[in-house]
Amino acid sequence: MVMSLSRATRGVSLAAGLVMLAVVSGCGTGLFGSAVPAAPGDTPFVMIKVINQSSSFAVDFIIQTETTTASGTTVGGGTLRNVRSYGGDASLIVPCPVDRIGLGNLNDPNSTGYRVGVPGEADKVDVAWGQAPLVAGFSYNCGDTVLFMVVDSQTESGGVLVTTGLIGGATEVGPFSGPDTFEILEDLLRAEGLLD
Amino acid sequence: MLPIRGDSCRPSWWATAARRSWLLLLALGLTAGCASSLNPSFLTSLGISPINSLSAQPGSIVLVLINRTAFLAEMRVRLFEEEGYQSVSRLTAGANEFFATAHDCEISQMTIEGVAVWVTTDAGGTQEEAVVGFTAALTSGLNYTCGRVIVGTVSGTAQNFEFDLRVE
Repeated sequence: MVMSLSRATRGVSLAAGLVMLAVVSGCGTGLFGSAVPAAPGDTPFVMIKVINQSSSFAVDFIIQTETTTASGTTVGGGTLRNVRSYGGDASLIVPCPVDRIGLGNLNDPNSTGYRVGVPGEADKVDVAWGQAPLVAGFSYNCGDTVLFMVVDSQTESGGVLVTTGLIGGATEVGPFSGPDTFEILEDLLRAEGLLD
Repeated sequence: MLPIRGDSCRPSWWATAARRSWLLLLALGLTAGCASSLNPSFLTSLGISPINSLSAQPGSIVLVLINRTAFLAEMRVRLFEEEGYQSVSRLTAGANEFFATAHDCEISQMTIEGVAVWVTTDAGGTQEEAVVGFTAALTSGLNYTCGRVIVGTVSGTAQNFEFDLRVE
């Protein structure tokens, strides 16, 4: 019994040591808090992040946003080009409110939502996203990060499948040990008179 | 009394189970903790949601184009990522608006390869009215650091505009 306890104690010590090592080396940030925000949180933005996890394709993402106010409907967005495979990412940051978000023309699910091609070559295959737009208050809220993630697929058009995800802004309000980029952006835009 | 085979010198079944549980917990803990700093494709192979990986990314560099002209404006940016792969971003903004993109901090260098202002044609479309084809090379650690905001501001008229670039 004495030897069993001794081994168990050594096991616990080893485990504690490895966990400490993991924390010191930065592995523990997911468990013990973030260094930087992954979503706008309490700043007045929605971040639209694309992540290309395919194994061999470069992808262009055609992001469209729509905001309806008393003065009419504003269509915005932009194209994030040549997002590389194996985890390449890029994001669009749009001010709140933004009512709908999607890939391609929000009113035409058959329009081109993304383009898939071989890295380094200009020609890409146009692919329709084919999904209903994400809607504010239902799919996401102000302060969230909306994710469009691409993975390999043998069955989908273009050889990739696009899935969506979300990082809730409520979990990303700080304080952070690193720079809060969204706060810097908010301060800058307010100083420029570009945020209400 | 000397221990005999199967007696106290040999860890009992519960001690073995406890040790294995510790190892399992340790593996799970390290996987969950370290998952935040691993490549998403590796996470996928483990069956872990890549969303978890984002919380510990080292942050973003934000590019903002502020348009003070009465026309559409565009800032053409080329980004140099790890492994030498190039990613190109075209930024467009309407009059008196801004356009912001975020990129991960692995971007080692970026070049602003020109700025264009677009005007509406008689046919209702748009065409490039004026382009400045300069190249401004920005290097990580020298011109910007992770978490900072790089701001380009276009002002003036479509035929004679000014472009200001700064890091906040």
